[in-house]
Amino acid sequence: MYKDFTDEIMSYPGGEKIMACMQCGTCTGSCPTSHAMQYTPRRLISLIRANQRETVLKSLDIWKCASCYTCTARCPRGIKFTDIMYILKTLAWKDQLMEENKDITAFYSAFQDLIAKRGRMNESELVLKYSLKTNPAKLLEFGPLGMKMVLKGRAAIIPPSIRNQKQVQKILELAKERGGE
Amino acid sequence: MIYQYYPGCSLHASARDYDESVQGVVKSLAMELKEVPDWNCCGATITPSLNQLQSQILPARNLALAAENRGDVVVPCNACYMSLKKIQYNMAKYKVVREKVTEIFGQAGLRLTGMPKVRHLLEVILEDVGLEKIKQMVKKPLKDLKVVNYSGCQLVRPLGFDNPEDPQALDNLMSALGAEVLPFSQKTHCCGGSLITTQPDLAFQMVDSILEESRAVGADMVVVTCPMCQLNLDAYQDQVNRKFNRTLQVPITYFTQLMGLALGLNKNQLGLQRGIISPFKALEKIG
Amino acid sequence: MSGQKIGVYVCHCGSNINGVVNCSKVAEEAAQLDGVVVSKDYKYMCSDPGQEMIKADIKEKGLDRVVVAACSPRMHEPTFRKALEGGGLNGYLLEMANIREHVSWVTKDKEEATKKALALVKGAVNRVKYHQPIEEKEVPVNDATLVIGAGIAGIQAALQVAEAGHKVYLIEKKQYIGGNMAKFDKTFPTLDCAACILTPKMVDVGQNPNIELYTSSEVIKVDGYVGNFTVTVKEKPRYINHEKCTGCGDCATACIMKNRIPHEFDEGLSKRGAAYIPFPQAVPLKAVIDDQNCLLLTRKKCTLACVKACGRKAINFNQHETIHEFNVGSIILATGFDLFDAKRAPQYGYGRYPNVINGLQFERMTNASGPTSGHILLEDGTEPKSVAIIHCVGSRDENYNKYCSRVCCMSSVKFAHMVKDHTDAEVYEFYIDMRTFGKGYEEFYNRVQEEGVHFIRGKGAEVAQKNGRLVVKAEDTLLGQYREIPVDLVILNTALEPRVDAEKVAQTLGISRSADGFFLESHIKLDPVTTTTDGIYLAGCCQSPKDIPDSVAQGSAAASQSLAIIATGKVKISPISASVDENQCAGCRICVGLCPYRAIKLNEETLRAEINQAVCKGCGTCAAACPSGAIKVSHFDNDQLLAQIEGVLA
Ligand SMILES: Cc1cc2nc3c(=O)[nH]c(=O)nc-3n(C[C@H](O)[C@H](O)[C@H](O)COP(=O)(O)OP(=O)(O)OC[C@H]3O[C@@H](n4cnc5c(N)ncnc54)[C@H](O)[C@@H]3O)c2cc1C
Ligand code: SF4
Ligand code: SF4
Repeated sequence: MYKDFTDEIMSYPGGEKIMACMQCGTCTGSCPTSHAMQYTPRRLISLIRANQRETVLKSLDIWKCASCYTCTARCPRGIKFTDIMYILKTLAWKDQLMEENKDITAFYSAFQDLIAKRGRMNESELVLKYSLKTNPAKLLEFGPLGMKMVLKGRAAIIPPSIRNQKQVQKILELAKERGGE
Repeated sequence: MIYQYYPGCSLHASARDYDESVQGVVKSLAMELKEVPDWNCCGATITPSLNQLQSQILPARNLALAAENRGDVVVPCNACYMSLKKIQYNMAKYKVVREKVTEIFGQAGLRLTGMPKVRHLLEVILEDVGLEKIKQMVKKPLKDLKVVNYSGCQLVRPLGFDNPEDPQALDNLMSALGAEVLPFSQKTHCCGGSLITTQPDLAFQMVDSILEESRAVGADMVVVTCPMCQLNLDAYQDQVNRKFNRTLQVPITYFTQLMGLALGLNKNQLGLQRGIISPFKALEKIG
Repeated sequence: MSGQKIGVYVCHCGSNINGVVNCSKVAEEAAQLDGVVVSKDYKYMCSDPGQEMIKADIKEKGLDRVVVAACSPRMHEPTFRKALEGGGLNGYLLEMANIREHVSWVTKDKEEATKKALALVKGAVNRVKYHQPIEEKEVPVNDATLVIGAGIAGIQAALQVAEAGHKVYLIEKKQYIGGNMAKFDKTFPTLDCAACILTPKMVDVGQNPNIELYTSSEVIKVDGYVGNFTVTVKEKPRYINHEKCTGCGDCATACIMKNRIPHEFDEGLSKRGAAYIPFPQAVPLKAVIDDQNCLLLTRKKCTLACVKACGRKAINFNQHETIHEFNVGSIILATGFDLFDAKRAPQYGYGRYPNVINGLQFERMTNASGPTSGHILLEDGTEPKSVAIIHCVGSRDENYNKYCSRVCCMSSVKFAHMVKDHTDAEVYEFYIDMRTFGKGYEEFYNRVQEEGVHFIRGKGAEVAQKNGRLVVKAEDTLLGQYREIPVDLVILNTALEPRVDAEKVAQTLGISRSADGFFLESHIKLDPVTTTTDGIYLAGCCQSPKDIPDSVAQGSAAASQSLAIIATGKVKISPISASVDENQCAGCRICVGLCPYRAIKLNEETLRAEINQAVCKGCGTCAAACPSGAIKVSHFDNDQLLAQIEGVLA
């Protein structure tokens, strides 16, 4: 249904301008995590344009984006690279292409489950869920910090929720059905 | 003035201190905040990483709820502020987004009857109250207090209200309260909040460079406008310091906490005791 | 309107029009229109055979009106008017339908395009029936020329006109001439010294009897039209009597504000007083008193140390602003560029960190008569051990200016060479694309590469300070790696921008600006020197960023335009003008205030409006505003316009 990977990316809000990239590297040079990336932001654009879908979507690099929007703010060609990172992550998630980064996506999906369940997020339950999904030993790591938060009165003991939780569930489900990845 | 308050999840939990100081300050400024009824999580940076449409629909529901009432939506959290502004931007720019959101809303008994204005609390305080008036209201100037102002990312990018590279709002406010604002190149450098749980190695470096510069310039504290930044810089500071062999602790305070102090509010009303790194020693300077 | 014989000619413009519009179909259908006796389509109507076709048809078929459906009339209306005249018809019996810019270039659907083209042709055919022959007016030309801006482009133009024996008024806003080039040390690509090639020209300007130079001056009003402009110039007081001042600088040494004011000519790298000599080679070499900082002029209180120091009694605080009026035949605009203010991109640390400078500051540093006597020095007085040069700051960037500033790749290469030449530092150049297209330019780049400069392909994204040292963050795109390069000095090569007052100047002269803010030329390729206002020409960077060779070339080109009208002695002015029907005019004066050229006056005796035909440009503002419908614009009257609209809608 898409001509190629570029076409696919361009069909999402924020992805439409990637053909205008002049490969200047301002994005990479501005990115706080590019030093740890195998494929830098600029290079990811090249890879998309070279139709290397699997290489891109399997890459851990797309999960290293901190959503700081510096690349977007500085790109001389108006490319919204942060949005492109989001698009890439959603595609990788949809096609379940992440191999090495199960831990990361486990955290994301724990968060997402929590919103679906309660409508609001709370850190204590999120950490609990995440640890159980990945490795319960993690709880030990989070333990000391968690205790401090409790002592300072900064941890919700009773999980928050909202009245019309059904509605939130419904719109999330409908969004998913619409193929709204 | 009446505003609609969208506190976001953190302010009811890990950022209770922020909420407490917000409540105190707005009362002094004669601003009335009414919480958006039954609001839900905006999805932050997580939902847009998993599902594009879900990440539109979540903040959109909040706007629909807010549109039922009068008043601008005031947001104290940078991440929520950006999520809400971004869905507005996307709905204005992309017909597909508009159509899909409307269609789903129709099925779920929701309707977006208007587009309320979304503003960060800092923006509202500066624009609607104004520096002049604040200066007049200061009872206890923050004299001798040396601060660096950390705006973070999503207050200023991509749809923020201040210069994305060198924001001025927080500097102006803190100067008006009498604090000494030190030059700080990390103002809008990312603290790595969204990576701290899953990729601490990356995030810790980012936290450290912010803290290191604040120490190097001699700041008593780092002032923040966002619960995510606060949590990241405050709660993880011990771990970061251990990793990079730093000894000095830097308190991380909300701008509303300092504002509350300057306006003469009681310390205990402002949640200052909740900092993992206690600010009290640094605050002795202002008595 | 019957019994007329109209010829219709539909141009293919190669495939420009015919690729989208079915030209032969348009011609066929046009043949059916009332009054049309010939209708043809042809590959290139503007070509010789195309024009001959029109001439022949006029003679053989007795045409009395012609419609050409082709490109915009801006370029070729004069061409086809001449063709009509060649065939013996008055040129104004022509109407053009623009089926290129208005149709084929903007319409994708071929059928729609053909339909639209035909509609425009119908409108033109309907309209041309109402055209009347109009005689063009010829007016004598004043043989003086006004040149605005005395940078290298303006100097070149002024000298060329003056050397041909004609009067030039040269108006410069600053107190000295030379523009930006006067600040440089060396110039690419040959590295000749800027002063050695510019100073002789500046001196010539000062000495040429045909050039009347006004410094500290600005044009505040321009009236009239090609051949006969009246220009009003405001000259600011300098508080120095030029006849007496020898430029000795005694006043500067004495001024009690000495070494307290950042010196503009040194881009803030040195300090001067309120009385000062701009620079040693300045033309005119006269002292300047800065009225913004002089204590006497700002606070009315000073010991008058300068007055006491001046042995020639040249200082005169009673000088006032003077207004001059000149009559000239043409105007050459050469106001140059402003440098992008790097503070607008705070990520580069300009104004925040020491030792982050812009290109002009670097030029001053390397200049032997500059603030560091030609030494490349850090703020602490030591030599840098490594230097970064960042290209494209404020250029090629949607956030600032979309255009390429054209000279910065080459000046960056020049900077790199200068650093290598003056110091032992390592040099890192951060570029997006290397654009070294001119004569001898690539060779120069090659030479500097071999001098050991590190060229890093990747735009410098940020300048930070780490452990007391500057760090440039960028991606080395050819490596695909993020890099942080520590350096001692950063040179930001910032964009060339339109002057801040460009809009004001454009309004004073009645010319336009392009989307990038520079002054607009008539045709970007074929007429880059003239503006859309006859008799006003452009030279140098005020039209677009360019280097010295191009600025000089354009200065010469503008001069030859001026010389050409002087040589002709006469110019044709557009005969399209407004006129008042005295019987209908109610004397309400609405038009008087609206006319942008101040061509209308109320005759106090008859109490009717009167239009000065020589000044009127036929813009039609008055005609549209007149409540009694008393004003008509020739060639654009109501009958013509309504007929055209009816034709289009038919
Ligand atoms: C850092 C740097 C280095 C460069 N190095 C080189 C090089 O090595 N080689 C090369 O070929 N090119 C170089 N260039 C390009 C060169 O500077 C330009 O080509 C040249 O200066 C253009 O001359 P100009 O006369 O058009 O404009 P300018 O030099 O800007 O002169 C315009 C003049 O008009 C005056 N003026 C402005 N407004 C008004 C007004 N309203 N009324 C009256 N007067 C006015 C100004 O005061 C000024 O004197 C460099 C440019 C930069 C920025
Ligand atoms: S900054 Fe923009 S144009 Fe430059 S490489 Fe990145 S995405 Fe492409
Ligand atoms: S938004 Fe993501 S990709 Fe862009 S600079 Fe920030 S971390 Fe890097």
